[in-house]
Amino acid sequence: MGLSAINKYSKAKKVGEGTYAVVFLGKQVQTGRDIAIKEIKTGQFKDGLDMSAIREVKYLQELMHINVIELVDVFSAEGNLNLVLEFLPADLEMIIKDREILFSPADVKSWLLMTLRGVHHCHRNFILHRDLKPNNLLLAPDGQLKIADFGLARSLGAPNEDLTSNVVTRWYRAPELLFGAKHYTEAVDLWAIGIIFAELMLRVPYLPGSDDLNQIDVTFQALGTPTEDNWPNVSSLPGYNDLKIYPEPSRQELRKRFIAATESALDLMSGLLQLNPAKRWDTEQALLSNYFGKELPVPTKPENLPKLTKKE
Amino acid sequence: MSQRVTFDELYRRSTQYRKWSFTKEELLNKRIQINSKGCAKVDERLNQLKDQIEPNSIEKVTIDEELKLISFHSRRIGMLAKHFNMPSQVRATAISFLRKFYLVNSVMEYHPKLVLLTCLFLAAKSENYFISINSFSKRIPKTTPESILSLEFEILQSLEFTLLTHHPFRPLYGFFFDLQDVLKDEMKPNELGKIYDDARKLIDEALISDAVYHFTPPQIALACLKEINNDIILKYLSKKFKPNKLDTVKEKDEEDDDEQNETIKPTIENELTQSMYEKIVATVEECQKFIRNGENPTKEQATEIDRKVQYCLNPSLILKRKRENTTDINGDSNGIKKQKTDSI
Repeated sequence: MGLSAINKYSKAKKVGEGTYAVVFLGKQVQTGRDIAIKEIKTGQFKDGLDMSAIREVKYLQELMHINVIELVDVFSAEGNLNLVLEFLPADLEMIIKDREILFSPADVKSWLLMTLRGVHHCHRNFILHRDLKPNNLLLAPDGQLKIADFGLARSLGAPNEDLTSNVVTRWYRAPELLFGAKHYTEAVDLWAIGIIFAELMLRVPYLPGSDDLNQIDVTFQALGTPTEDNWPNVSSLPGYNDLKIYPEPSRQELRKRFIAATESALDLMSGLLQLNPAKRWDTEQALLSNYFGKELPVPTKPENLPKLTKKE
Repeated sequence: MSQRVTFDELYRRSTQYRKWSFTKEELLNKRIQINSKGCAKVDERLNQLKDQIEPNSIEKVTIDEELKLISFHSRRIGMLAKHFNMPSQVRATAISFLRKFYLVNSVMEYHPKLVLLTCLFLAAKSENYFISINSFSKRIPKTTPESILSLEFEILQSLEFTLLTHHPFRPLYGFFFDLQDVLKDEMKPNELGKIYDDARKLIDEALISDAVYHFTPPQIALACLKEINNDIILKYLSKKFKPNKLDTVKEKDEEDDDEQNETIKPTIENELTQSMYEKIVATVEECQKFIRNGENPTKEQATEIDRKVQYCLNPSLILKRKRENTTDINGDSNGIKKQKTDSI
């Protein structure tokens, strides 16, 4: 056989270093394809291979979808674990922050569509991502959006299994997580997508809480405090106490906050941001909504989406 | 919606199907290959000691013995997981890791009694049931954190870094609900509850059998149920797949109206479901045979194989034994002397 794993890829430059991995850019020697190599340091962890690395490998091995980052190869060298990933030069956060780019409603629709398709695929495979945010939605040179960073992902739990509510980056955390629920579902990912949708329209983070307590306040001030009326049994969740009761925003108030949004866009956003996870839309409802189906404009083709104006 | 990927297609994309499902012939060939790889390793070791040991003084382990030993240690995983109070998912995944490891390596290369511990530790992490290596090792005599961790990477490599394992527990739970629904006029819920509980216990046997390499988790779940109560499951399957009632036929007609010509449809529909019913029953019954025929060696058998493996892994033990025998004769070993006095 030809090349051993380590010679199949070249490492050109180091682009990042995290707590458990170093990322290099490089090429697949035989094809010249650009790739990123995530080298996971195995030796330094007291408890063996790190849980995030285990999750990442575990789930990426199973998920094959155009809107999920591709795990090209896994190999070990010098006792380190190497994940060979497709090369993705930008992420949605960088695009949102790039003030020189104007978004059209069709662009926003396109990014949201790709996000929902990728997450739909995860959910059909019983996998929760649990850390969706613009920074984890990577963009390929051809404009395709790819869901990345499965370090917090997990399989949908068994019926009685406890889950940790300490997941999802704060600003994108669903109310059931803010209340410390031990049982939750795919709906946590859909909330995060709703917040990302809002952020794409506003061009600033929608609910930027400064700490966990403040996040609760910021969230409910914008979207109303859940009560037994709209969410039966919510008051039995561990974190449900000492809440200021805010009313749910009227449609008119939402229109004022999201000036450019059409009625179907607001329908979709409200569906994704239902306080009660049981009422929140799932990926299928979202993908089949009027926003994507009937309403113009059609989503921008990925290759025509705006790209970063500044190169690093 | 015609482009929608079915659950069957999704399963075919899983690593469990792509990498860890085999025909009987493939599985047998794998095991033959691994066993001879193991034997070759033993020969290598013997070769290094050729001045001291006769090459045929060490008895190698056969394929059948390998399987018995692995099955014995798979069952030990079950006990150990219970000791740690780990969920069934962890137990099942650890067993699956151990058995897959020995589809790549021979017991003459790595002793399962060590590999099983690392498999359990790794499975706990992979199934989100983290336990620190120190507290894990502390509760298992004669281990150190290092001894357990040292095999982790070896195991990950043998698994080709595929860690997601689909077990029959979830489909079994699904069938339990569907059974209640389909048989609601004929069965009391607690009767079905008993069948479900017994079938769930039987899954542990299935996990140690080769059924996991030839059948999907729902097929295995159904086989376990049918093994517990044949009549009920046949009744359930015939209700689901045989349209013997007029109204069922009618309902199906309406659903598929635009797809098929109405005049010829009922017969085709009948034949289709009849052949589907027969196919499912045949598949499930084939699966039952595998579950029944899982290895279950006695402790004595396992100890005997274990002894052979020890020598295969470390042929110089023979020299040690010879030396001990000699000292025994000379009578200058305290331990042995004491034993002798004791026995007298």
